[in-house]
Parts: sequence; C-alpha cells; structure tokens
Amino acid sequence: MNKFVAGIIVLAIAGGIYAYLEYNRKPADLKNKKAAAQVTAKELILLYTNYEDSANRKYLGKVVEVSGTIIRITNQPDSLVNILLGDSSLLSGVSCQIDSKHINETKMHRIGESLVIRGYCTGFLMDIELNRCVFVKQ
Amino acid sequence: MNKKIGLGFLWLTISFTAVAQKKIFTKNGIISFTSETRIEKIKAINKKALAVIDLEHNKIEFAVLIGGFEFKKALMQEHFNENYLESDKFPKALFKGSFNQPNVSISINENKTQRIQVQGNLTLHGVTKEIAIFAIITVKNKIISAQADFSVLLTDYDIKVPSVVSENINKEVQINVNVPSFSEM
Repeated sequence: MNKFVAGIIVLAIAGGIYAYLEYNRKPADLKNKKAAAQVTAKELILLYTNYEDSANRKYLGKVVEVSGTIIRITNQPDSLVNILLGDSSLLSGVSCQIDSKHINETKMHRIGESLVIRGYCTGFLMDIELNRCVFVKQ
Repeated sequence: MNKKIGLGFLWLTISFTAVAQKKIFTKNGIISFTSETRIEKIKAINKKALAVIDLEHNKIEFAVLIGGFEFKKALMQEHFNENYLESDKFPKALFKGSFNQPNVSISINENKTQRIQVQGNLTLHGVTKEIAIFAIITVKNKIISAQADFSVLLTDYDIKVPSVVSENINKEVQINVNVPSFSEM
C-alpha cells in the first residue's frame, strides 16, 4: 500500500512539473528546428502574389527555409530587425523579422548578399512575412 | 483576395514624415491585445501591421496577420492560432474605415492634435462587423502620429473559448494599435 501511495505521489509530482514546464514553455528557437519546406525567395514571392490561397496551404504556419538576396535591412528603435529578401524588380519581397535572440548576427550580413533564412511563415500582406527568423549556416 | 494587398485592422498610432502626399502607409504598425482576468493576464503583440491612410478621401485601412502575434508563452500562442483565431483558415484581420467629421483636416504642414471618430468594418475570424473607434491624430514637425484604444467582444466574432479556460480569458479583449512611422506611397 505504501508503494502504491508513493507511486501516486511521484506521478502527481511528475505531472505537476510537466504542467508547469509546459505552461511556461517559450516559443521555440528555430535555430534548432527542422524546416518543413525549402524555397527560393523568388518562387515564394511569385506563388504568393499570384496564388495566395494555394501558397497559404503550402507554407502558412510552417517553418520555411528561404534562400535569396538581401535587398534591405531595417533596424527600428524597438529592437525590431527586419531583412527583406527578394528581387528589386518585384514589388513584393520576403520580409524576415529576426528573432530577438539572434539580432546580433545581423551585423555579419550586407545588402546584396545571398543567404538562407529560416522562419515561421505567417502569410502575405504587401510582402510574405516570416517571424522568429534565424540565419542558416551554409 | 489573391492579388489584392490586404489592408486593414485595429489601429492606434501613426507617424509619418512626408511633404504633401495624398496617401501614406506603413508596414510596421504595432498592434497589441490584452485579456485580463483575476486569474491570468494574456498579452500579445504584432509589429508588422500594414496601414494606409488616404488623406484626400479620409480613408484608413489596416491589415494584420494573425499568425504574427507573439506571446511570451508558446502554449498561449498555439492555442490562440489553432483553437481560437484559427489562423490557418482566417490568416488576416482587416479594418477598412473612414472619418467623415466635417471639421477634421490632416495636413503635414500644420501642427495639430485631433480626436477623430473612425467608422468602418472590422473583419476578424471570418466575421465582419461595423465598429466605431476614436483615434488621436497628432501632426508635429511634419510627423503625423495617431493613437487609439478600443475593445472587441469575442462573441461578436464567433471566437469560442472552451469552458475549461473560460475563467482565464476575458470575453472583452482590449486592443491597442501604434504605428511608429508612415511613408509616402
């Protein structure tokens, strides 16, 4: 009986710890996350600007790796750092909001550079929006 | 919807540097919402709202991606997207409105603070409702900023909260919008 009670107590404690950790879990760092899809910025832009619903079915809510050329880097006072990937001949781009934990890595990159960024696709307004972005080592 | 640029949604602060342009816009509007009960306070923020103001016709449009709201806790963010706002089905919230008060005029060249009423349609979770909200628009040194706070009832937009967490989530959510800077279109 004592073993049974002890087992229940252990289970209750384990359940409590799990619930606490799960409740307080932070959004995942995408540095350690596998992408669901890999695509070039140009392909992503053309798909979203022509077939938004179809593009959403493929990419919305997923972690996506996008390869492309940096056409703009924006630093804002409220620590929002954004990199726009794409092609200057296109009206839209892929707007990558860099994860605050990885903002320092932005200093290593320049306009015109080709690179790969991994981010969480949230959809399309004027640009395709990726959040919590990280730089992918090539 | 495909090729259209979605514009619209909840709004609050707009700043723009400009000369005499008729339309101004930003891709970096900040929209946050807060739900507070005696048990829990939930807050999320989206710093990439799109907003356009047509100064000639007194029209305002906002758009925000639901999946772009960030929470401190992953579990809240997952429930928000998957269970409440269903961002896979309804990825955007939109607001299209206008201000038609006869005494309102916004000019980059005139420093002024005005409280204006904006009426329009808010589309959220696939439901469109007419709303009226107040905003403060300030012009100072050729920078225009606008500010507003309002609330939405979850039931108005068919957003269902499971009974098990009904005490944790306020049925009336406070919305704050803040757009730091606008550019000429």
